[in-house]
Amino acid sequence: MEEQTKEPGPVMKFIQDYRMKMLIPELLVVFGVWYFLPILDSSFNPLYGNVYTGFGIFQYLFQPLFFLPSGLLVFAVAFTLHGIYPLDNYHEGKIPELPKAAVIMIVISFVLLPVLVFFQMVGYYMTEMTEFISRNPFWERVESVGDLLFYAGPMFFVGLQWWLLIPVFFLSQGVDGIHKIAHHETSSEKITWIFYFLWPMSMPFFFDSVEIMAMVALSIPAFAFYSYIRPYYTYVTAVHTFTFAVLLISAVLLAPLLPLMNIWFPGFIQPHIPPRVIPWPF
Amino acid sequence: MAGNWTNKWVLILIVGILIQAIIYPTAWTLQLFTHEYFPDVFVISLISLIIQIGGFLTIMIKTKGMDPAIYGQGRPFQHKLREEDEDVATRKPTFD
Repeated sequence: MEEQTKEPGPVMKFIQDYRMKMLIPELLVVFGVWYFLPILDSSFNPLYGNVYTGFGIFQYLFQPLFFLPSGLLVFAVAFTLHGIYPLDNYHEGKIPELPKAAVIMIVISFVLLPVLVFFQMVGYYMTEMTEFISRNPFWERVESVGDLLFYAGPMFFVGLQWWLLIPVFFLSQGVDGIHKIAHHETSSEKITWIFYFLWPMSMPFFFDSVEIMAMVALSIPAFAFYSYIRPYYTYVTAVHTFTFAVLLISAVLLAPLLPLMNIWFPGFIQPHIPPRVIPWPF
Repeated sequence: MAGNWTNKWVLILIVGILIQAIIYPTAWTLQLFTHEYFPDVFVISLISLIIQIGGFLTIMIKTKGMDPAIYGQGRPFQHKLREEDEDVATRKPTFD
């Protein structure tokens, strides 16, 4: 540790107070939404088109500024909704009053995409329930679903990929669950482990082999980074690496049957592979 | 020091990486899957594998000569509620 603690400049302080590092996962979700837009309508490009035009009068509820492209609005909201982080610090009593900028940013977010932001705010309050009410396995599951609504909300309320709701439910329980275990933040490790393992077990129902292979290849290093920095997390990395390696084996063995859901409910998993923008040169 | 390499968490981690090191190239060589984006995912899987092997060696170098109990420890109680906090937390963010 350095001897002198430097006071961060105004820009750095804004970046820290508004937790701008969280833009990394948030913009990945925005990328996911953009990726799905051409499937909703082949004329959509992220830069134009309103995804709600088919909703009749309700489109104005989802997006009052109907003449603007939804793809750009969801990108803008990823920034403006960062007003929620000072709100969080305010609720935790870390700052005496809520900064005006945060309030303005939240209001702007509501104006741009009211339904999306409403559900993201509901998600935020759900994540606080373990603090407000009590920390037990039930409220911990609610907390994880709150994460789903907050971070994955755009996938549903803008990307309109409702078939993802169940797999992302299990994903949020797994991702949030293993973090709770690593941080010793859970009232019942056993129940949290069960919900973590439901994540890999549920994936073959919703995804095909290549999608599962991508999930394995991306999620393992994303998790493992914690343990590269702090080796005392090695056990969660080991469990996650091994579990997802086994998921990979089952993706190979079950390949012709995946996704299983379409066997029992044909069409449950909608076609969702967009055309390639830049083809391979060979 | 040899004890670190035979720790059960380290062994589980090695097995997990080995399984991937076998399956990714096999799936590609035998073209087990057909998918528009299979080539992309194969490239991603190789990059992932390289990161995992490098990361694993990082863990082993950092913990060389340390008590193997470190691998199963998790976050110590003395902690910050979030990374950017300056003071150590006075409460657990958690159940006691």
